[in-house]
Amino acid sequence: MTTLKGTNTPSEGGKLIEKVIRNLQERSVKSLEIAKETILSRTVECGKINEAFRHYVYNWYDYIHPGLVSIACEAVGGDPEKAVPMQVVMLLLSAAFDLHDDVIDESKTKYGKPTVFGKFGKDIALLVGDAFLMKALVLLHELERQFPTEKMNMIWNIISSRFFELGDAEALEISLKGNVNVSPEKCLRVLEKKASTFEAHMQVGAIIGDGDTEGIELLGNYGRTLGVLMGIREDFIDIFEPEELQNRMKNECLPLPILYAFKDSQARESILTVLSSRRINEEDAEKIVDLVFEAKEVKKFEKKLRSWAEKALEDISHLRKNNIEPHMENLIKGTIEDI
Amino acid sequence: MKSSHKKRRVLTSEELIEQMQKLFEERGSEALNVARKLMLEEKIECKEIKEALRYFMTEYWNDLARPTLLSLVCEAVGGDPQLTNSVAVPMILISGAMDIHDDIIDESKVKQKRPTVFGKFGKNIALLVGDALMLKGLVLLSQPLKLIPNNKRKAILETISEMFFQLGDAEALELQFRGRIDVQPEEYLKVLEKKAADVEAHTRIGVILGGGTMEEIETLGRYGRLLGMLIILRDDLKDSMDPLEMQHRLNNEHLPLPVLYATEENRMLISSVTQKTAITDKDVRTVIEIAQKSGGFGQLRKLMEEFAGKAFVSLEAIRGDKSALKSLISSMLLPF
Repeated sequence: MTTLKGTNTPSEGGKLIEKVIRNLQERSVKSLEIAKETILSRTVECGKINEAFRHYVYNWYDYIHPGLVSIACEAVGGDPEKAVPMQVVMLLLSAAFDLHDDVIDESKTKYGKPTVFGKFGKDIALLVGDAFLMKALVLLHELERQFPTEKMNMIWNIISSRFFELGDAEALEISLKGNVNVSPEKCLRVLEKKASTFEAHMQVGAIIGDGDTEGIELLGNYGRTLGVLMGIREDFIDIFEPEELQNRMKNECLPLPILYAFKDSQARESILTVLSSRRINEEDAEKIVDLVFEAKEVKKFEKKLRSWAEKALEDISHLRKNNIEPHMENLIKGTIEDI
Repeated sequence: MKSSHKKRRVLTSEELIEQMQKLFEERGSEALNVARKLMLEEKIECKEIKEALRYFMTEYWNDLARPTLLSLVCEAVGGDPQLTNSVAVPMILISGAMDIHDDIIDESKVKQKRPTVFGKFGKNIALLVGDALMLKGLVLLSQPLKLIPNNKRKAILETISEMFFQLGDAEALELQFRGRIDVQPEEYLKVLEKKAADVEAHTRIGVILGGGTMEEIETLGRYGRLLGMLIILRDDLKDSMDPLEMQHRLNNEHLPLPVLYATEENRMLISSVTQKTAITDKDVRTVIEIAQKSGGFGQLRKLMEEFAGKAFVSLEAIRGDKSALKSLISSMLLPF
């Protein structure tokens, strides 16, 4: 599950991010409640499955995905209230992939809480993820008669292609795991592909809001860039957290900034020495932070991030002017705040 | 049929098998080929996923039975069997997805002497390929469902959803049987009934597409459930006679029904085998012998005959051509 981390590092204050989070939360409350009710309304005979449903639902705080659908709908002049059923579908869909992603990454805890995989194991997590996926798409079928056929066809196509891309990205990521020699460009490519779902959420919201082809495309591009920037922000934050670093070293790819720093052979050697310690502590993480932020390639990468952010802001400046633009600006600016 | 009054010659086992294979080819190939084509057209960057999808769709998942069943049932209630093809394609993909995820749970690396996607590509790729198939299947379903009346569309969606939840529930309940030798046959049969939801869903959808009545939906739904149970029981019978399959069941799954029937009197003996860290060929043969001696195989065959009888009875109410549906049931009782 992607989150916008607003506290801790790199921005201790993270004021802009906090504002952004509040806005996204407000936009998501209703759909999240409906999605939770939808899942809990269906019980099965197997107690463990029911328990796993409850566990996920009680720890379900995804305000980003539904928030983006609502923002995109409003950005093209639509009524965000009309987007609620689609927010529910997208919430369930994202949850399904999140549940399966944990099985692949063997993520037993997230944000200090056990995942369904961590608490109930691979088999139950797999079945629960399947149930979310099935529920999401059955709900989408039920919306068929609520929206015109042309719109629904576009939504089906977007969901199919963007979520296929996400699966492709996850598969590519598997081959990069545990490889410290992987190039940052390869990792960035995976991140770009993973951001396909952000593009999907924005496009779906824009379609529901009656956006024209240009608006849908612009918002899709904005979503893709936002997804990439958020992924990179998480990578930056992970460098500051010893436990996360240890996990990334063992089970995943190293954070992108570290891979960029590796382009300098001396920095690479020093960072790898620290990362090889059996247990990475606060002091180790601080050393890595210093080495990463001093690296020339990382500075270049930071510049690139800012130019992407500018491009995204430029994209939305072509949209019809309305009250949502500042929120969209904040979203982008929040992701590169203090980087 | 005009010739129905003529005396019919009873088909030999070989003839019945040949007839079934021909029927599957005739009725199921078109949908299967479309499903294959659509999945292979997907743009995928990851070579492993691409290869796993190709392997599953072209070498492994030869699912002719489901589209055939949809077609036969549709025809039996007076519908045009061609109507079922557009729904059969997504159903092939959804069922394939569930099969792949099932293999991850059961850790089935080989099935019917062929490596599964899980066995060939591992857990992670198998999970993603299953997701891709399920996503594609459910997306594809949107096209044919747009073309049918709202009540039929709703009924089909409810049927698929119900099938899915029953199958998932059965999978999860089955997990609790692992490593247990005290599972009662009745307990297992309850789960098996849930697992047969897959076949029932296909017969129900076939009737809905064929414009059948509510009564026909229920009757052929019952037929589907019984046929589904017979298919699973036949697999159990086959697994119990094959030392390799039996070894897999003892190591990774739960005991097949003939052994469950036998456990009551021979619990200690079977327990001494299942609790071993490494189960040998000799152990497997011992378990098979116990099942044979204690009448486990006989009990299973009797149960299968009982289910087949009920399935034949359920077909009596159907007015259309049901000969192929009857043959499907008969083929379940053929010796291996």
